[in-house]
Amino acid sequence: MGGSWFSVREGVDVGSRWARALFGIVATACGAAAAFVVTTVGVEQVPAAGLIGVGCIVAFGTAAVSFGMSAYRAARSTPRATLVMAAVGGALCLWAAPLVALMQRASDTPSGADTLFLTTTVWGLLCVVSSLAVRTERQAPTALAAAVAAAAGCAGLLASWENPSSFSPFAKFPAREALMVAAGVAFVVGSLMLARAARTAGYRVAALAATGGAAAIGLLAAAPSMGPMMKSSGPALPLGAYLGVAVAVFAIGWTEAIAEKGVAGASIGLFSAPLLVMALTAFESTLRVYGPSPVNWPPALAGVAAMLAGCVALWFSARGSDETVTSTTVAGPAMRTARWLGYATIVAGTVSLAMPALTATAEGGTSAPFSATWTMIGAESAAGWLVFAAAGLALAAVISARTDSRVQAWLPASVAALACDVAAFPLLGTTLHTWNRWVPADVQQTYGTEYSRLVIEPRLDSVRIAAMVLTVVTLVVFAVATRGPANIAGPVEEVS
Amino acid sequence: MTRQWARLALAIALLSSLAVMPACQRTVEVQTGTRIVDSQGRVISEDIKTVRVPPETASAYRIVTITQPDSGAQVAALYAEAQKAIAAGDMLLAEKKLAEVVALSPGYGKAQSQLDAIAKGQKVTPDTTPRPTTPTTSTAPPASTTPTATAGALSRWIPDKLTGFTARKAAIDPLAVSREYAPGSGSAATNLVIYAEQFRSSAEAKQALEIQVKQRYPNSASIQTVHSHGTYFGTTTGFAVIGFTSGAVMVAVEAQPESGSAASLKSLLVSVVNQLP
Repeated sequence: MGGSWFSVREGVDVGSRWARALFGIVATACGAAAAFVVTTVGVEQVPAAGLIGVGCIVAFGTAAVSFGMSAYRAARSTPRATLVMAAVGGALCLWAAPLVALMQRASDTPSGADTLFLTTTVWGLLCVVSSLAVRTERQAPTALAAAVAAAAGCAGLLASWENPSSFSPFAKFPAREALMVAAGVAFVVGSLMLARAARTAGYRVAALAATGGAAAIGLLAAAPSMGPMMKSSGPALPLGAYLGVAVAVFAIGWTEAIAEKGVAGASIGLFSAPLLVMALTAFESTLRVYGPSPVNWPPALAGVAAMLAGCVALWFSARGSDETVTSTTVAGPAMRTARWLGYATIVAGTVSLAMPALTATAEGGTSAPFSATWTMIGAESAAGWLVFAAAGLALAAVISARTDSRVQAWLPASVAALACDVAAFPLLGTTLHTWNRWVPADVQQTYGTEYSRLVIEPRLDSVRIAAMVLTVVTLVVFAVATRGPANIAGPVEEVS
Repeated sequence: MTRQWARLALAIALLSSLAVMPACQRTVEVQTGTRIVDSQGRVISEDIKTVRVPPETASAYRIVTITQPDSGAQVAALYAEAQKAIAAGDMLLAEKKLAEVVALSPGYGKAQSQLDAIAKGQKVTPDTTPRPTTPTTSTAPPASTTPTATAGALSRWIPDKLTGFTARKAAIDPLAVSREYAPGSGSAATNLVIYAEQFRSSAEAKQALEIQVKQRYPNSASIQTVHSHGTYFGTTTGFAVIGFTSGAVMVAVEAQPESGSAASLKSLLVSVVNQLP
């Protein structure tokens, strides 16, 4: 290690970089959660283009005031191509993607839990997946396994908000939901452009240009609805102002996070947003403002634990583009055994995704009674993906075993793998949001009322149990393999 | 290193097999058949079976419930015939009629005790107690599906009958009513909803029309007079609406097209408004 985690390396103050990345991620999470809350209030009350447009304009103003003249002077000396790249990136991820997502929303269509999952967690997953494919981001496979863990944790959290939850296996509005995911592609493309610009020009200039680009296009698109909004005595302008502050916080945080930790690392902020929204709900219920808590706490907390474990593993595995990683290959018979066990674990985890995991029964309806029983596979359950993520994290920990001047990535991955396996138990009966469109609309709309019901029962899956056991065994053997200098075989290998 | 990546590729290949999985044929167990109930909801007979079907066809399988609204009257008539037969001394006929009564409604009147007495050869006297035509023990009125008193005058905007549609249960709030209508076969719409809301003034109703209808359904907008109402027609993704105000009441009729553009539903919605007050 050559010093503490916060050591100065290659002239870069690692400690302050970490602090900036952490600030960026926290700001991203706060901004995303606040934007979700504000848009939820404003949906159907204010035209989408107007709300997002005003939000982007206020965000640009907030960013300009926050950064001051120094950022403006820096921007003037920045190559125009870089500024354009940041502006276009900002327009995509701060204006286009949120606008497309907001246009798909009506009062409860799709539900808030579905919307939050599709526009934060899924967008975060897309960021991590894209970072594996894009050369400038070059993330390790551990990042993908960690992101799957975080996303499965988010699903468990969101599915436990209400009982029965509106985060159901039913895709009630498939076209709208598909467009929300498609908006995530625009968000990722914009973020990658922004990341590149931020690394060239610094995050302040990039954030200023990004919000400027979003404000410019937002102003053009919102112009037709500005007149009615200005005249309106309703909540349009206050909501636009609130959204603007939220977007500004998000834009600044996101730009700083992707500059320091890459798009994959910054997505931790997106994975954390549902937790903040749930914290707000919990805070409200503590004050008894809105009655009893709607949260089913045991599975919700299991989801939170898995999400946090995944985020921590992602933090330590994700790296900025200018970070180099040196590794020492760990060899020896125990290490070989650990690797083979790791492969067996991931195979078992993958197969368990295809195995029957839940029995679902939907009954009732407001017209003629409907009664159906069907089997859901591991891939349609939160626990299935947690076990798979644990297997992936265990394998990733083994194959990425290395010692370097960074915090070792395998240790958080190992801990996250164990946390996912433990968190899977309270979430055994939790479904994911799936593409189920065949259950009649009246049952989907009324389950949980006196008209109809949806019952989910977990099933015993021996393959899943095997995957969980193999995960633990792999990590134990791996721990033995990495213990002691006798098992460390040099020389140092550069990993890029 | 190469071997490691080869193994990782194997794992990814396994994972990608998941993508193929949804295409695999999966089945759903559904219940289907017919249940016959009397006017009190008691099951008279049922023929329900569980079948395995592909998911995409599952929603077509329902339990059809047939209510025999006259079963109460039928039981009362059978019981009256049995009492007449007892009075006439025709115990064979009385026994037959009483058995039918007990089969339909086991607790009805003295049917069971008279049947037992006839079987034991005991003397049976006719039951002269006046009985309702329906063997109800509850004094609660049946749940109404038509809003009348609660929603007051608003209920006239959600009629029981609409040509080409079957009315569903109405949702009634103190100042708003709504009702879903299921379209008949061959309809251009998959569903239709009428919503009416009472405001304090006609100005507020017009403002609500502006915000709730015109801003939300901005496409294919047109204004026309229908049935003496100045109406607004508009669409948004997958939905069409026609809205208007009548005094301090705002009325919106919304429909979703079976296929194609929502704008194609304009004539259908106009025909619905023509049936409203």
